[in-house]
Amino acid sequence: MPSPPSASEKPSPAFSLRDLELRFNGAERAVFQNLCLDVVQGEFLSIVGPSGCGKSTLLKMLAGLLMPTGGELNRHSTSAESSRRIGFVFQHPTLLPWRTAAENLKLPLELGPDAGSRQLSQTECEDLLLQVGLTAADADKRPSELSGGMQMRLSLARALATGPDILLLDEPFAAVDDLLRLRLQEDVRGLYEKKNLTTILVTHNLHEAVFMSDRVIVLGGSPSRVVDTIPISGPRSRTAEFRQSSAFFDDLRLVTAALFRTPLSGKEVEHA
Amino acid sequence: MREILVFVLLVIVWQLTVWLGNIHPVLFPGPAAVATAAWKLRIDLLEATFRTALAAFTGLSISVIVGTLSAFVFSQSTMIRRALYPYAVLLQTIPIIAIAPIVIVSFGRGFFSIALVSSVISLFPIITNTTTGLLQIDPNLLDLFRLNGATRLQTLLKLRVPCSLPFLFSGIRIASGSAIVGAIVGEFFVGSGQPGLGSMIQRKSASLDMAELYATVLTSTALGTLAFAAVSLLGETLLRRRFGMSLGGR
Repeated sequence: MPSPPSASEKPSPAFSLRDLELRFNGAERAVFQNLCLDVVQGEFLSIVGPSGCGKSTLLKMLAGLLMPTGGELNRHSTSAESSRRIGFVFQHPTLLPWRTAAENLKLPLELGPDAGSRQLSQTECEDLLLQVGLTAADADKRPSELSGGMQMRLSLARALATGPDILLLDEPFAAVDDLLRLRLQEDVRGLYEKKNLTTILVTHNLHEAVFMSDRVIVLGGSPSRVVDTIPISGPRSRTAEFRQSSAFFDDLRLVTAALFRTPLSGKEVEHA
Repeated sequence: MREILVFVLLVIVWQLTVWLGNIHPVLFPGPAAVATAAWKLRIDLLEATFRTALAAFTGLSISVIVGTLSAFVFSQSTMIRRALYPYAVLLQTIPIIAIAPIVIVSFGRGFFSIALVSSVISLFPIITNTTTGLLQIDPNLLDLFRLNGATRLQTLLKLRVPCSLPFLFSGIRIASGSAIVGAIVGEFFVGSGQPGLGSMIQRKSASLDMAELYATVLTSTALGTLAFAAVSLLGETLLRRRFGMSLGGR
């Protein structure tokens, strides 16, 4: 099992963004300008910010789904097959309803020019399901037979199916109830601790950001940029007790204050 | 249940109108006279219904094949879609009574012409629905496929085609009624050479036998309703059991 870099080692970068700019076709105002960000390997980073500040757009750029129109975006992958090394979890489970849970898990390996070169065995499928809190008996169920929380877990398992070293989470718990949200937060943090995946979470929920991350960045302004960075002082292993600790509330206050200081985003300026 | 109640109510109002209004049966026959005529004609009606249904089924099958292939072509590029879509709309706007004689003159007074008229009228909903289904994909699913380096063919076969099935079945459901109308119009223009509900309607209206005409028209309506219900049931069952999806109210 890989371990996080010790204090003496210089952490290797996973992403470096320098003066990044993004401007949609013909738009006068850029979404991002002079955006600089470094993400180190094995880090759990959360991105928060006002609505419309481009959190999800930034995540899509990191995934390679959107290309910046200026600046530099370097992805330092440990694998030659870099796009395969990114697991992406969307706000909704985005499962194929005609496929069983196991077939949904296998989907990423059936795509691309090298489709079928690697296959998931039944045991690997069951192992993935167990890792995200599902059971082997769920493998043959269709998404419609699973609850909302189970579908989200399956979506997470699918993101892990290619063996990624980077996990991108786009508000994955926004559509689930509070109790399930807390459980999923603990489970995903547990997976991160176990696999040491570089994980980037976009969220509106500051409690979630503080509980799950090693570092929180605040996006804001128009055009949007990183306006604040708050390191989280919690232990590597996060349990429910951390939510009740004074360290948690201290960090939560810092993140909340940073968010209140954030200038309005482009969409909010237009609305105002 | 409510539909049956409305039907019974309509029949009662119909019969009462004929009785109380003292309307001559040649002008407006009552339901009892129509039912008697339908019973007398039952063998002819059954045979005609079978012939019309066969022509409509053939026409609808041609529409499904041509419509699905056209939708695949339309979905491949905006340029192709913009260039060809107006012609698909043109097909829809030509009145069926104008298409039928043209088809019959071009292809002869046979079964194929009737099926072709049926096909022409039922093609448009299949093209539009299937094209919409192939294009209207959840952007997150498209992102998922892109993220995993899916080829164009993989996206088509593993995502777009299965996602378009509820739309295709919805198109077939709409087209099924039109296919019956198309077959009847085709038979009407072909005339007595081809037995079918259309030819029967033509004969009965020429002889002014209104009770028998009403019986034939009502049989045609029942066939259209049956086709719509059968396609709905088949589509819903197939989608739910095989694809975990629903036809819904599309």
